[in-house]
Amino acid sequence: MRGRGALHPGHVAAVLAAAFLAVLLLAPLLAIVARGVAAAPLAALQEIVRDPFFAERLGRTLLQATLSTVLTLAVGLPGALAFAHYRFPGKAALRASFTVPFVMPTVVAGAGFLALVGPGAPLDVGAMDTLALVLAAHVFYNHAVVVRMVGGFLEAAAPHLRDAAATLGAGPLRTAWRVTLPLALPAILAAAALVFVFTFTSFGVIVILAPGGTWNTLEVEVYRSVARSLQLDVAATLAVVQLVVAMAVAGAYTALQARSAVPLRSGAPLPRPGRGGVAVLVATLAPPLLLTLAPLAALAWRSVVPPGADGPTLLGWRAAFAPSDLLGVASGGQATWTSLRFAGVSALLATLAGGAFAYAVVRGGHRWLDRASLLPLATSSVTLGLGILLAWPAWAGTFAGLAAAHALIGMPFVARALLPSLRGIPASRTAAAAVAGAGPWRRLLRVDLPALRPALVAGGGFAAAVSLGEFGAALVLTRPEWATLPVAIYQRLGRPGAENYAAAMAMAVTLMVATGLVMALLDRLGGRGEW
Amino acid sequence: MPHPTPTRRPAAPRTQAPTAVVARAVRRLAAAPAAAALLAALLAALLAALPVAAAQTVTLVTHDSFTLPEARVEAFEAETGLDLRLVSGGDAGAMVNRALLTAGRPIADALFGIDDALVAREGARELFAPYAADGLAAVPEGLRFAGDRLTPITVGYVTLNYDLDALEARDLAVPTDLRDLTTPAYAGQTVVTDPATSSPGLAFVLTTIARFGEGGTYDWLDYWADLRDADVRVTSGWSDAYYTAFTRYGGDRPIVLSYATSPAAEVMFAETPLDAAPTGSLHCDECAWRQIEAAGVLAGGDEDAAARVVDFLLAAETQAAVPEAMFVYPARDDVPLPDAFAAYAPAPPEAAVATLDAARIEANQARWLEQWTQVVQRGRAPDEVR
Repeated sequence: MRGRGALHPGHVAAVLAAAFLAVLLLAPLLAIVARGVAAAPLAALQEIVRDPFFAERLGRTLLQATLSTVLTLAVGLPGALAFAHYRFPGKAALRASFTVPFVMPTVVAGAGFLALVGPGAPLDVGAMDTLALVLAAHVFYNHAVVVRMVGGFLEAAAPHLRDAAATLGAGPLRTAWRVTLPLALPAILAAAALVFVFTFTSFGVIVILAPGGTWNTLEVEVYRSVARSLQLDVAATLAVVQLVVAMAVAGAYTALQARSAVPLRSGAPLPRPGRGGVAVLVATLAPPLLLTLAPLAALAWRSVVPPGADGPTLLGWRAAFAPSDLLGVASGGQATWTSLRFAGVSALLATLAGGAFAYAVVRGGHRWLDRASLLPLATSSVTLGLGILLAWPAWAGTFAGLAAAHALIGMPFVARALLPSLRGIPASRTAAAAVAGAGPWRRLLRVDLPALRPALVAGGGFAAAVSLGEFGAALVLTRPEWATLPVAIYQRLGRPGAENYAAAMAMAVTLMVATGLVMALLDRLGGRGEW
Repeated sequence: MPHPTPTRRPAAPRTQAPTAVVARAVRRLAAAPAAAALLAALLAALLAALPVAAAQTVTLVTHDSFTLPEARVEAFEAETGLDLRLVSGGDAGAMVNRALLTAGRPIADALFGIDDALVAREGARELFAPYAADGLAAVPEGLRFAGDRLTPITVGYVTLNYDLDALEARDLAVPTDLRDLTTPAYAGQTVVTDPATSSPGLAFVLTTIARFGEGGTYDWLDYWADLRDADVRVTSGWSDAYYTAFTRYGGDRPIVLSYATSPAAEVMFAETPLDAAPTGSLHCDECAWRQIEAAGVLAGGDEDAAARVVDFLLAAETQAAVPEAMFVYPARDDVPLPDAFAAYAPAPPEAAVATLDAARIEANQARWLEQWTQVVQRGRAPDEVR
């Protein structure tokens, strides 16, 4: 029988995926662990593991990540369901805007948050350093993961089943509860796994909104121990603990996800909402929209009314986009172009890598790669960054190194988005193609790829967003002429003075708009709504 | 979206002519790789957009706050025929860590941005090959903190800044001593940065060690315990402190750890022309730290080319550009300062500068940071950690 040979694309994909992980993740991690263990006898490592301080950190990190995941699902799911049920004007814009927080540099979004609820702000609730503020920020950052993954999955798949339920007399709530949600379980779990791993390894939100240290994640502790005196033994140990715990929890999600996949078929176009539907839309979409827009609006406001200004001024915008004659202070125009170029390369590479993972898991039967695809997000970036430097010093400051790092961080999003959809392709379709004589390569191109288009676009979109954001910054060395928008924002925020501050805010607004446009464009490419 | 058509025709019978079988196999095999080749070509096109260096390249690794006029870099390249490749190594601490990890097979030929506190890390001094830069004679003796291994390039003064309007609105006087900050009136007014993760934070801890000493009746750890009890906020880095916690930028703290030059920047980058700085910096006795940032030739790299880079950083024209590019003072004492510096950011008097013996910093820094973390971050009493 064809397809059992060595050239089956499922096996080729598995080899590629394994090589990807081995080179970019395992070799660097092993290099750090080897250095860390060589630097300290095992007794020292045991001491770290037994230190009640780190045990407490671990417990708090677990608690925080669990609550963050539950809350993010609670805020994101109603919106995702609304997206899946209705077609309405402004939907694409709304979906794109939900992704904007995801890419905002934490210092900028943190400033937006503090402008609203921080000490001395209009809604000062004494929230600085509290778990509540950390959770709110995590929901702000991550609810796009739920909306896009679950909404996209359902939209492509659900209408006909829902119509059937409606025909049988089920109301909209009942339909959502009994039909849509169970149907979406694989996508919900995929999103939950990502959100959990993300918040478990959270860094920027914590150091900005909870600088007191009470809610420091293991990731923050790794950073501090390395920054303080290059304590590789501590870094290696904490990184391994973080990895094991994150993967154990994420593993539960992936196992459930694999079990709950249902074959899906594309349905009819989505209906426009009726009068009740409009109420449902407003009720479900208004809270996440407010949560998204309020901190961002605060930033936009500050880009035209910087602190100390008597009234609106375009000073910041002019400063941001004036050509820069200083090396190390990129102009907004330059940085935007660099960001877009890098996002394109990263999305492409991450899609290839993530595609290889998903394909190897589902079509090649290499189940272990399912869980392994989350490894890059569960690994401490600080530790991984040092490991990459140790394992592959020649990459330092090269474009290849930068692209590889972005592909590494973007890959899990693509893999997570593809897995439920790939599992959902009815076996009958693939079998029919096989009976008709299509070999595995042809089935990949003609059956799987077309059916995966929405998921590819959703995953690729996140990979692009990862590159537009500041992800992976700790992983590699960059060059001043490669300043992306987040880097350019940090460059301005590294210099004192109102003009620099306003310029940073103006570039943050540029980043928001660029992200929104890229996401909207990708959604269009994905052909959402045509299904 | 059409339903996928499996194939154009049913599986070919085995009796087909051999050429047809080969042709079909080639078509099938080509289909998948063709897509891959297309993607690879696209990728190659994107990668090819990068400039390819023709001249000999020399690499300088810096911290990510490094800035210089492009014209200076172009002048260097024209003079030496070398291509200057800049690499950002993260913040100063991260950059030194990266250099330490790659000692012997360095990621760059030259390094700029290591200061007198960071050089105290184990093995840091040995990263550099001895070199005496052209123009070293113009650098005051007192700035040369690492013998012949490092060349001082910039001088900054880490000190507390205050927001004049916010202090006035809160009926608070401008503090005149570090001890003021621990009094009830100033509780909840100060933000500093984490010495483990930020170089001004480390400089400020060293300042308090110099000012209050170690082991007396009231030493630096007692001071930090008092600051902690006065609700000092500790942020991870300078930007978080200055742009999110400082009252001038919408925060709630009118006193922030920054640099003596920051008030000048507030004037130069104001939205409307100012005739007085809206912020000030503390110049009380032993309350500023002189942070000297140096450049060096990394051992094991292209040491000759690296030496040209160090010369370039210390050249009078480059030194003259340093104040406005990086908001620090030049290490040379024979270059003029911009007017705003003279008016709003005079260098603190010698009495304001706290100093510690370099050997003492080197021997004790790791312990000090651990003690600081225990007292400030984990709430221990000073006696428990001495």
